[in-house]
Amino acid sequence: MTSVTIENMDLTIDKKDILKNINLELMSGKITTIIGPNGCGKSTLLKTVSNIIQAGEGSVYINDLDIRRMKSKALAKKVAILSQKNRLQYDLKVRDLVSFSRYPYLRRFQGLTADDHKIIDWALRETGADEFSGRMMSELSGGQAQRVWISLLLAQGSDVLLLDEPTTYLDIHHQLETLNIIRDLNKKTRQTVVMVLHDINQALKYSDEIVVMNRGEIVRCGTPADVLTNDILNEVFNINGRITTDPVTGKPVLSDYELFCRTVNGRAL
Amino acid sequence: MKDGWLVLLLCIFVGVSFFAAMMFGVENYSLGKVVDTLSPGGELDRAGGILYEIRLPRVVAAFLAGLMISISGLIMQTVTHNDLSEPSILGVNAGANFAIVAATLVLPVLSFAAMLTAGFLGGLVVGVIILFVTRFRSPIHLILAGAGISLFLYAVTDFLVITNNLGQYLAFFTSGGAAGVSLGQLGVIAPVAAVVIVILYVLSKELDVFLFGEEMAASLGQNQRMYQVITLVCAVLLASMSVAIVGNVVFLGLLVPHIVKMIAGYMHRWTILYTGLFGGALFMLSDMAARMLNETPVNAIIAMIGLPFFIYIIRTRGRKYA
Ligand SMILES: Nc1ncnc2c1ncn2[C@@H]1O[C@H](COP(=O)(O)OP(=O)(O)O)[C@@H](O)[C@H]1O
Ligand SMILES: [Mg+2]
Repeated sequence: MTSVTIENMDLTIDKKDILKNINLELMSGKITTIIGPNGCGKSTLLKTVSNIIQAGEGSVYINDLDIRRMKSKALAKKVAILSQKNRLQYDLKVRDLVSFSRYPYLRRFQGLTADDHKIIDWALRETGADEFSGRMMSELSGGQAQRVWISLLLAQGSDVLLLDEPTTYLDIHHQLETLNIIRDLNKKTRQTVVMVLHDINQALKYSDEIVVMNRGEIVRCGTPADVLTNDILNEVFNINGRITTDPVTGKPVLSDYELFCRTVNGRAL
Repeated sequence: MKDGWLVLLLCIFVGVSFFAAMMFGVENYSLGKVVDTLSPGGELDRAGGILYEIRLPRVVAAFLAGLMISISGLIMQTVTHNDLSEPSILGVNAGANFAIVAATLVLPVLSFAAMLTAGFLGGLVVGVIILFVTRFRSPIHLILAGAGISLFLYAVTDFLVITNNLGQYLAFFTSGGAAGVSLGQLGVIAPVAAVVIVILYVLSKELDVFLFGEEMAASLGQNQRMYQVITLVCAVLLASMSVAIVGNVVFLGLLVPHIVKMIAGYMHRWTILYTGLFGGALFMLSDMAARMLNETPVNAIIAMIGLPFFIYIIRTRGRKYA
């Protein structure tokens, strides 16, 4: 089990506050989903946890160790991130791409070991990407490519998986397929998962905990039932919804929604 | 395996190019004569003398230069995340060229090693300026800054050359060409090039990780800045040594890596090798053609061969990249 704690984090870029006083303890072994409007800092928050962007103030602790004091490869063994824009500039064979996830474990002059290959095979199988592991990335559909990227994340062998909008650009079938893969894996491996989703119902359905962000701040954080209130929907998304309980799962759902007040380009009419 | 066959094929291409380049030029010699001259022992007649003293250094210089320029281009493309990078576009050649001319003016009897050092420092300074100005960010800025600095430095270099009547002596620097290189000079360059290429080989895995872009490389835990600096210094060293022996060769550093990547993919443990061999062979042939066509500037030859290839790449690459 790996614990992740974010303490008093502030980030200012070009005099603009991107993250404001973020305090968050991730539930280890569980799925946490961040929701919030475009540009509220979700991606930036994930990047600071994997140290791609360095926080201005405050710290991220992995197992009580400040990530700024960890070697970059040691951190990569703990935290893996799937970026929102994971487009390849160059075409690669699926398996070759996934094998790069073992980079943090490689020593100079040493290729992949038998163990590395085993982990890569396992990661490809878990997402079903083994079916097309010999194909080129450019030949894959969006859903297939996403499975490869998740395999890459898995093969990195990290306890903490950060997924930035893993369902964006996928049709509804592949969105659910991707989310099911993530949930099933989480059940099996007990990795800590943090993802960013835009669909509120999907967030409710797949998460143990939901973090609501707005303008660089965490507005609310709790179980799906805790965060799904019309106050939050009004304030953060400027929408009003009909919140009901699904008769089968007993979980809250947003059964219909409309703009809270009519707007054009975010401005009230 | 595909890669094994490619190595074999390229080695044959290099061999054929070498003997062709030895045979054909202002005067043509038979294959037997070339083999005779190159085999150990025996007296050299007049033709043998020309072959051994003049043509051999020139052909070897062409091979080495083509190899260095092409590998330098490959590395620059990878490290700057920019498919258009190569030593002349980034201004490294102009920097090396300027520094060599300036150093020759200050100290007319410069040793070859000192000239190389001046070239390296000139290339490095320009490379650092460009990367500092553009901070690795935008491909467009990189190209614009490189083109701007190049034009400026060539203007200044031309001014120095003309005002000091160095035209004869330095003309070849701007047109590119392997004439007048001695085996002794190659003996200085070859070991340095070998060491640099070994370093690049050792770092080939790091170069591969660069291909994924900064964010992903960071998330895999790569110490990017360090490897960027080491590999770029290597690339500048190769480019500036090539400037010292054949002047500013354009286009080759762009063309060769792209052809190799289209055929053989992107993994550097292979592309470094392929790019080096293919670039070396291509430059030997270009230099041979230059000799046969009345010493046409080799840049013109490369442009003539290269442009059709280049247009082909531009038209097809949109589909080739994921
Ligand atoms: N490199 C950067 N430089 C300056 N501003 C940035 C940079 N990256 C993101 N931002 C700004 O930070 C804010 C948060 O961005 P982001 O984290 O991508 O939002 P989200 O993922 O929630 O849509 C946005 O206002 C964006 O304009
Ligand atoms: Mg985002």
